Parts: sequence; structure tokens; C-alpha cells
Amino acid sequence: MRNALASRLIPALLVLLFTYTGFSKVFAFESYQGTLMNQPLPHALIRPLSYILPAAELLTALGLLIPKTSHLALRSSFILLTIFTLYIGSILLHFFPKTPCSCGGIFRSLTWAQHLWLNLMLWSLNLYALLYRKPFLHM
Amino acid sequence: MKKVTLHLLLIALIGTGAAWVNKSPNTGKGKFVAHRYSYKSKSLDGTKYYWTYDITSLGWMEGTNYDCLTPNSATCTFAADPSDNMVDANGNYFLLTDILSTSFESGTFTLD
Repeated sequence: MRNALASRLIPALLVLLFTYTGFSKVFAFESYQGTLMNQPLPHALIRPLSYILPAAELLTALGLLIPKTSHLALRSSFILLTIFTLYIGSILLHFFPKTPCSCGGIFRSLTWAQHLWLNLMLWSLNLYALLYRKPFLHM
Repeated sequence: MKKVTLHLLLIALIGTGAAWVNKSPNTGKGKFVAHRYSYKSKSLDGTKYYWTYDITSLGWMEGTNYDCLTPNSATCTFAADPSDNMVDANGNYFLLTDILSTSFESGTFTLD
């Protein structure tokens, strides 16, 4: 049961998350770049980040699909979720001079606090999968 | 060994489909659909302007749900790029002008 959750359900949830968020950015790239412009980040970073972010999300999703790379992708997903969660935490703690609007797709309707809870839940599940998943268990 | 996990591939396709269905409209420079906001506020320290209540998103129609009385008055609605819409702890606002960005503004704002 524990291994089924770590090896099947959580990777499936992460694949759904990263294909959804990655392709949401790709399908509405201009709008996504506009949203990124509103983030309290150095402007020099915006352009490269606008390509790196969806690429990282989609590569992570792709990595999760392939048994050989799935453990590496789980780590990549954990790193991405850690970065996103810390970023949202910093926004909520007013570390930045302004509070931007959140990301696209259905996540646009979430407040930053709801976004933080969602991320913390996904982060915890990702950590669980990293700890309890038997590496190279193929389905 | 399977090269790709099939049930995950199916879920990836579902994620892709959901992203396509829920994709935001592109709002690039010069191509955005202008939204109207109901009134303008100014931060107490006078460094920022805020535009609140996106009435286009609420589905209000000019002439039916509201009228623009006089241009540049506090009661007049106006058009703006919705990609500049932001969310603070108290709800939505629209930041058009960063007069002098010093620190995060919160609390009460005076109506212009």
C-alpha cells in the first residue's frame, strides 16, 4: 500500500501537475510572460526564466514517465516544488515590494495562501514518494 | 522493461488536455483585451495608484450596468491591461503606476 502510493499515485499526481502547469505556460506563452513580468524578480531574469520554467516542468513530467529516469525526475520535482513553495512563502511574508497575481490556468483562482497550502501538500507527497518509493519498480 | 509507463502517459495526456482547455488568453503588448476598473485609489504615502474591481470580469456592460460620467473623475471607469492585475491580502487591485517603489503597501487607501 505504502509503495503503491509512493510508486504509482504520487508520480501520477506529479505528472498531471507538471504537464498541466508546463503546457498552460506554453499554450498561453504571451500571457504567461506578462504574468512573469508582474513578479517581483529582476527583469534580466524574466526572459530566460520564461523558457526555463516550462522546460523544467515538462522535462520533469517526461522524466516521470520513463521508469529509468523517474527517480531523478522525482528529485527534480521536489526541487521545483521547494523553490515554488519558498517563493510563495516569501510573497506571503512580504519579502518583496509588491504582491503579484498568481500563475495561470485553474491556479489563477487560488489566493496565495491557498496556493501555499496546495504546494505544501504536493511537496510533502513528493517527499513521501522519495523516501518510500522502491527505485526501479516498474509497473 | 517498459520504456514509458503507459498509465502515466495517459495522465500526461489528460494534463495536456486540461492545460489546453483552461489556457489563458494571450495578452501580449498591443493585443490585450482592455478591461475596465471601477475606481482609482492612491496609497497613503502617495507612491502608488491602485485600480479596484475588474468590472469587465464581472460581466458589467457599459450603458447597462454602468456609465462613465466624466473622464478622469473618481466615478469614471476606464480601460487597462488585465495582465497587470494583482492580488493583495485583501483582494484584487490593479497597479498601473509605480510612482516610487519603496515597500509593500497595505492597509487603507485614500480615494483619489
